[in-house]
Amino acid sequence: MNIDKQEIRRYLGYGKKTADEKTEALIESCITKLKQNLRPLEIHRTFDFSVEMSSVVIYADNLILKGKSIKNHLSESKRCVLMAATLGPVIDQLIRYISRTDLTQAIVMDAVATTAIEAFCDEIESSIRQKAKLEGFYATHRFSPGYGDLPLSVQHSLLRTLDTPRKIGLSTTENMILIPRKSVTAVIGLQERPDKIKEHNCKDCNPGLSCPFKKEETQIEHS
Amino acid sequence: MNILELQSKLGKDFIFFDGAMGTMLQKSGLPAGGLPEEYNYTHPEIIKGIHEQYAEAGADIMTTNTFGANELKLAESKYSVEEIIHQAVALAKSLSSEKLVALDIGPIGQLLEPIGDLTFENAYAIFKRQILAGVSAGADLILIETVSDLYELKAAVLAARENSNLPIFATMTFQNDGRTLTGTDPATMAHVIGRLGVSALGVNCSLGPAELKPIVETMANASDVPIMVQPNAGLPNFHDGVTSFDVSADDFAEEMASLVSAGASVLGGCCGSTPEFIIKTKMKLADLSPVSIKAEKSTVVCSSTKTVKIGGNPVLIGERINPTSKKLFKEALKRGDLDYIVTEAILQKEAGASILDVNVGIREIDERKTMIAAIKEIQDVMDTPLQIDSTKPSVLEAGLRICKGKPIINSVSGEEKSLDSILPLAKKYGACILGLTLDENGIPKTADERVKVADKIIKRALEEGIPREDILIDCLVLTASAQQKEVVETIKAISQIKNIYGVKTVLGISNVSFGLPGRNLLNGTFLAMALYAGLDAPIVDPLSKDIQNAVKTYRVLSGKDENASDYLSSFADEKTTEATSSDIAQKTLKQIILEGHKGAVKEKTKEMLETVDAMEIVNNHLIPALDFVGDQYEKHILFLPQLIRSAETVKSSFEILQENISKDGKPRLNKGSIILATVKGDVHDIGKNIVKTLLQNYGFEILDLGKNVSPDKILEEAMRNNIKLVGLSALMTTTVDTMDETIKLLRDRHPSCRVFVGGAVLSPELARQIDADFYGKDARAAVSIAQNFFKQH
Repeated sequence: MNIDKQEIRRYLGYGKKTADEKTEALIESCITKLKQNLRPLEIHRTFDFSVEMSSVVIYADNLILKGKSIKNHLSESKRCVLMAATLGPVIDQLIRYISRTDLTQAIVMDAVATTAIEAFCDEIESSIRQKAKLEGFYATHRFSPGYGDLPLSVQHSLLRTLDTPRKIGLSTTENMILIPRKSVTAVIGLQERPDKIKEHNCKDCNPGLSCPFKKEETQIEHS
Repeated sequence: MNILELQSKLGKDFIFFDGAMGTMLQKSGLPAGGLPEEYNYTHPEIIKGIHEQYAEAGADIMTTNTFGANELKLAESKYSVEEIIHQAVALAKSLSSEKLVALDIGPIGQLLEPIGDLTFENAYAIFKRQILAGVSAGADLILIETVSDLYELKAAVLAARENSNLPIFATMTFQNDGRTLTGTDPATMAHVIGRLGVSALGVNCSLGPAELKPIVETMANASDVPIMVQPNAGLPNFHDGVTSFDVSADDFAEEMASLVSAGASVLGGCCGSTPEFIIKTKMKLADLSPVSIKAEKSTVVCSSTKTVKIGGNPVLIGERINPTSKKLFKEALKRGDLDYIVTEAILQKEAGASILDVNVGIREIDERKTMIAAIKEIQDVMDTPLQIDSTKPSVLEAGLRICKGKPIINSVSGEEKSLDSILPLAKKYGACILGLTLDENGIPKTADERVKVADKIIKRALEEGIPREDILIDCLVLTASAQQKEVVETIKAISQIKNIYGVKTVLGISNVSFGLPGRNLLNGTFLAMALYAGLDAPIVDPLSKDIQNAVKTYRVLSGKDENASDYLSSFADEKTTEATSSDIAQKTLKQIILEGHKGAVKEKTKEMLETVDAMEIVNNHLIPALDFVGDQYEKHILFLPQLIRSAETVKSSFEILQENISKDGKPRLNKGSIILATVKGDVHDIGKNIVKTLLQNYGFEILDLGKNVSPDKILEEAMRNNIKLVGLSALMTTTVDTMDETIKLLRDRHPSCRVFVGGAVLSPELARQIDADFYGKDARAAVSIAQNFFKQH
């Protein structure tokens, strides 16, 4: 797993700057410690779906994804992939443990773990993209509950559809917090034409949130 | 087969459960989706048909279609837990009286604390409801299966034991790295569950029979309880919406024979298996019988993910979580501040303690509640096994229930009252028991007399059904200052008890030096003597250099540290730490804070205290340095990790100042008491911890209630401690509602209290909407809020 230090620095508030010497060393040691404890697990499956008035209906378990954003995201897609990924409960415990003795390290470890779960999802996404290509499809970016107007409340049914509590030990609390904490669920569209893939755009995200981590947009590689 | 036959056959003859229910439902053409438990009502004939097929295939036990029939999974169903379970048991029982019916219980589907937010107590209540329904419906036994979290399994087994007399079969599901999803290994599972009075324990699901063999072997080596296996039909393939499995019924049967040779005797199938699998397996095993399993009789203590074996190398039990003659600890307990305990736990673990003694017995508090809170708090961050220490049986029992693994009970003595009340607890919760060689007449003087008391304890424990390997004896030591002659009696008693009874020994070391100077030095030497006499697990302060040195050198001289390799490497470590710290000492306090030297700041603070008053250090040195760092942070010259590093450095300095102030008998330095809590439903607490550290830096006393805290709890603590300022944090849009609820409750019941809020989803507008008094955009803002507030109040 390739954990990008630039991303870690961004989460820690350094923007594009290099951190101070001590923090750089801490980032390095946290990456090592995280990798020693990492037990990442994922599950993804492909489904058919139909687009309705104000939602997307996945043909499994009557899973309904509500809102314009997801409709828009899948507007050119023929099928879609549901994915769920987690770094596992040990990483949560590691962060809790560290935070009781060394809050600075805990903050850095939290940023490293966030970067790691995203890196893990990038790997999954890229393998989905390659596999789709062989079948003549182009994969969109991943789109997660909480993006745009896709409600967080869908987590529960999404996890049930993928049977994640049994398969990868991922569940939600009543308040739709994914447990283990460093986990991601997402929807990836599979479309026949590459040119119409929607860019991931921070502007599409929930405008009520003041996110300090706004990103510049990225391009999908279809090579 | 009736239930008596089942019990007499267990471990001696094969017992056959059925195969998969889900796979059969799919084959019957039922659509995917929805709750399969509802089929008991909507498609009773199909469910009954599946049971019939398995009965014909020769299964002895029918498993009800109730895997997910708990109140959380059925929340959206029109059927209640009781309705589903009654109907499901009735369908399974309608076949023939020859077959037994197992009430099937799967995992709850939400994760328990500390991984998730479901409490142990709630998990117990959820299982209890299923079990009571199963009992009244007439189930013959209880099958708890596919569990990943050992803590959840413990809750289920306890619920079954305390609410029914039915035999319990318990299986967990393991991943291909040999651990469950929450990290439990098969040996730990067998050690913990094997002691909880189950009829069989084992493994199901996830993997095919071939992959389960090492797991079964490990379990058979750890526990004598009959072993159950229900493998999948190999590994799943998912294609075009359909799951298929790659092992045929013939291959499955072949592999099952191999699992039988590894020790399994209760057999069945999980995902992908069908009646054919049961038929073939029965045929394959027709001429075989179970191998008798002979577990290794070793003394072990466990957390949910770790087993510590006592015997061989000395195992250190950390003694520091004990308030006896510790003023700061007592104060912390009275304040309800558990940070002290967690810090001690971490320090001891890092110093080499393999087991932690937990004692919270002071008169002024509710010891039972505090014991529960302390154990949960320690389990939240680490997996070191525990020794639960109290003189009160009710406190011990509370600790035993919520402890995640197999602990040691500290302690039972030779007194009748103690034996009668403590031994049944050890038996019920499957714990190790630590017996003290004292009785109604106190501590006997001679070794022989102590051996007699040990004899009584061991006999009584064995009669109670506690296995010999779970009994540990502490021969007790008297002080060398008052009873010098008797010190060596302890040493003699250790070797006699080891020779006569073969049980493991524990000894609290520190008492020997009471009343003499240089206590650690005496403790170290006494420890070496006791280890040589055969002491297995000393109870010590693992942070003491003399203790560490005694263990380190004993291991070399007794040949346990082969080629002195650990000894040698400990010297290599020492050299590297020595080199760094010298020039830091020359820096000013401000420089030390800016650069974040957490260790050096303590020395510097002590040095300054010789000439400067504590209050002056706070106001003229610490706060200006913090203000400077904060200012640099706001200007984006410094960043969050640097700000926190400086804040933690100040915190270390503060601790020295508080110690100094309390030594002078003055009240703790406190510029105002504040409650901080992450609201109910939210589990993100790093932000709150940052706010806490910074507020503490500025001299405020923080009562940290932790995360996922209910409105009631916040109100209760605010009223009890007469708190006027409460800080709440929430990170999720979904938990702002509980924040709102908490504020309403405080307004209503504790109106003089003011509330500030913060967290990623909050904004000034939202804070106004939920009627908060103040909004803090970050930790620096929280400091200003608190400073302004306490200026006016």
